[in-house]
Amino acid sequence: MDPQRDTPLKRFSSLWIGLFILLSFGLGALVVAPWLNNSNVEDEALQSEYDVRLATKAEIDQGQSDFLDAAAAKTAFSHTAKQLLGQNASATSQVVPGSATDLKANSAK
Amino acid sequence: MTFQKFILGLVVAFGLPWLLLIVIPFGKMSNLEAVSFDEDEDGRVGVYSSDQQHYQFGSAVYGANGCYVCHTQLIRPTYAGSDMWRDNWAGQNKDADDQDTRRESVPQDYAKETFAHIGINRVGQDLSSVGYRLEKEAASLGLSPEAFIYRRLLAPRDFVGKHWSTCPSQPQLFKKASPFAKSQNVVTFENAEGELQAYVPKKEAKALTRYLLSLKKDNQVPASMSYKPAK
Amino acid sequence: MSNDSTKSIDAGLRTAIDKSVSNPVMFFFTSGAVWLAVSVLLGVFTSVKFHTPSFMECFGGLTTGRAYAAHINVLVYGWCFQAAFGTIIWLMSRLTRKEFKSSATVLVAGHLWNVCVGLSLVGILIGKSTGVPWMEFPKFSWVIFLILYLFIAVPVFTQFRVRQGGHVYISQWYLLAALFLFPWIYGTANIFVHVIEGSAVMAAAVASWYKFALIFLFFLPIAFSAAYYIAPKVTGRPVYSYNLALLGFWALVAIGPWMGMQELVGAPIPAFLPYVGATATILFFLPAITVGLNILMTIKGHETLAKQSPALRFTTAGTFGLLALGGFAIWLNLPSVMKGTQFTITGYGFEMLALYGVFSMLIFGAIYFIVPRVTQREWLAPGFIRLHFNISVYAVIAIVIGSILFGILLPGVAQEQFSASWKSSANANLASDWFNTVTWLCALIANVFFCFHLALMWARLGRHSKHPTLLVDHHGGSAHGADGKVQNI
Repeated sequence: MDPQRDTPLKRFSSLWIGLFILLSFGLGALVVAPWLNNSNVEDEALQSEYDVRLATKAEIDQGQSDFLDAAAAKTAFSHTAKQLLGQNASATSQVVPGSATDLKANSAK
Repeated sequence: MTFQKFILGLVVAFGLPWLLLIVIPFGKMSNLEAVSFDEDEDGRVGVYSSDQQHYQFGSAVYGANGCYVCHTQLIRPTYAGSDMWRDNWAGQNKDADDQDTRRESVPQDYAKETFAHIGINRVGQDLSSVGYRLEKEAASLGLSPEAFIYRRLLAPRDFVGKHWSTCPSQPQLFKKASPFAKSQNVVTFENAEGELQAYVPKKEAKALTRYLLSLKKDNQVPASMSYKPAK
Repeated sequence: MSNDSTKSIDAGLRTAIDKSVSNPVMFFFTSGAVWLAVSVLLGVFTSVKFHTPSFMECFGGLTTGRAYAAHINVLVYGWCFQAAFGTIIWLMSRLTRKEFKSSATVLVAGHLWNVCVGLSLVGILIGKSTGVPWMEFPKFSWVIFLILYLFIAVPVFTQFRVRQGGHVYISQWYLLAALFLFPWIYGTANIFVHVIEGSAVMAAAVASWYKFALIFLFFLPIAFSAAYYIAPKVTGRPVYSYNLALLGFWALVAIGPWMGMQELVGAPIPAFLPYVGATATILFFLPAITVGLNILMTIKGHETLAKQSPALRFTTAGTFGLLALGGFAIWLNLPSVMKGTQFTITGYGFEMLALYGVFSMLIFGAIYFIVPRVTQREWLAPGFIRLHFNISVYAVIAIVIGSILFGILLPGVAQEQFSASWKSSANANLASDWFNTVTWLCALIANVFFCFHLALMWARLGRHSKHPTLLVDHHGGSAHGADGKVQNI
């Protein structure tokens, strides 16, 4: 006979020790879950394709920027801009789509 | 043996396989690196990915109706089984370009589903590339693939050369309808008493059909992933 | 203290313990027996659908696939679990020599378990099965089952911790191991299959692993603990070898968790996984022989008792079933055999041998021992018990011949003949399917009698008697053994 074994403390501690042991591996699985969560193999494949495309784009960008003469472009832009500013506004026979003239002409058809 | 020793022994005895059989393999398989084609060996560039579709609802209907009890979706390498050598199981013996597209299953074949329906029994045939067989049989009967599958699901033995099949009828995937209903999906046939019966597919039947027709797991894999002997 | 007064104190303690657990234990056994009957009925139906698919085609929802899922899951979560719970509670209480204080909690958990099984069964039949073998119950159910399990397991663990001092029996180690291993196995399987989104094909591997882990690390340990109690108790001798018992225990616990993935040989998963599973399953013969030998050597020399005592008879039969299981574990996992049988009914036969031929037979033995003690009544009809036993044995033999042996010889061979049309492979299943129908019809007859007999005992309609009901041939006179003292052992 061992009456000292059955105490309220023992029962209380058994509850918590028991729960801990019983749930240990389940909780363990949930803990490792973030490391297991898939970067889906399909996304991986797509990502690799993006990488290839991005590399190609970078190559093209590089080639274009190498070809581009920034100083010459600036000169060309400012020259063209001056020319445009120098021109005066004048009447034109071009009808703007959606304007009152255009709508009148269409309703007349 | 004390309780502490016992629990320690139990944790170690269970924990080791838990880690080595489940956690680590699951993690690695869920984070597979993409495999690239090799221009010389494969004749193409790019990264390998599966042709399969995200037919998750169809896959769920397949599971919910226990198709995996009698059908498998696994083409094993020849050291493990003879699936590769059965006609048109692992792909097409002869496709439109006269090529043999048959190959073993790869992980990407199942990547578009949440649970791979590998199957537990082969009462019926393997379904890895059943899409091709269904289309062929439908064409030979002059039916659309969908109409053919609806008929197969409702009356599996009602076809020439299939009277021995033990596939059960699946009327729960259909709704009874009038034989003169206007829907293009109406399936009509005579029952044993000679009466005309008509069914219209529910969304489950349509999803399952789409899923089955998409099962064509024979796209080209890079040589580095293939069991094919080098030429 | 004199020997006689110690004995009567012991007898009084035993009666008190039995009384304290009588409600939950009788509930689990009776309810479990009903689920067994349901599962067996579904088994008959499923096996008929396999060879005669037009059977009851009018019941649209009851296709082969759904019926199979329903049959397996009710067998496992209805019968096997509840039989296990009843056995655990009684055994642990008796072996800790203390009254069980949590009967009410456990009883409520048991009732709710029934509700959950019932709802889940309906779920499968209306098309909400998850499609995962042995985990087909709808997704909601696994958390509920796990929580209810905790309400049963924690009181049993507490019972162990507050035990009367002294020796811890081998049965108690088996019970504790099963108690802890189940939530580890169940939690892992459900989290990796239903919660974590990851590799679909590894999810299938985990489901395969779960099946074997459940059988070999939960159900069989509980069955072994019952055998290790019944055999010494009924024969009156100690277990043949305590060292062998410990060896068998640790062998099972060490080997069991590696088993299971051999169902996926050839699948695109790491190649070592299926072969480790096959090797571990072959190694199962070690604990099988150890436990089997230990039990049979304990019974040796008491063959008459083994025939007459229902408990010992079922225990002996279950032990022979265990030896057969160990033998098949080797044969079925040889690579040459696996090739052909991987996708045949052989796997199902092996599982049913484990669940019915070993687990159920050993638990029936425990039930025939326990019920008279918790109800304070004796079994009514030796004829019913004899029928239950004989026809169950026929069912197990039919499983072995029809599912395992035929499965290897017929579809196992036919499937490997790849140049033949599929018709020959499909038709090769018919013999096994018919044998399967015979199996479940036998089990149905046996269990109708068992269920009926048990229900009468549950209703406390058993015999008032000082003599146990024994399976003796009697020519007139009492069937209940020679007149003697109170048999409250």
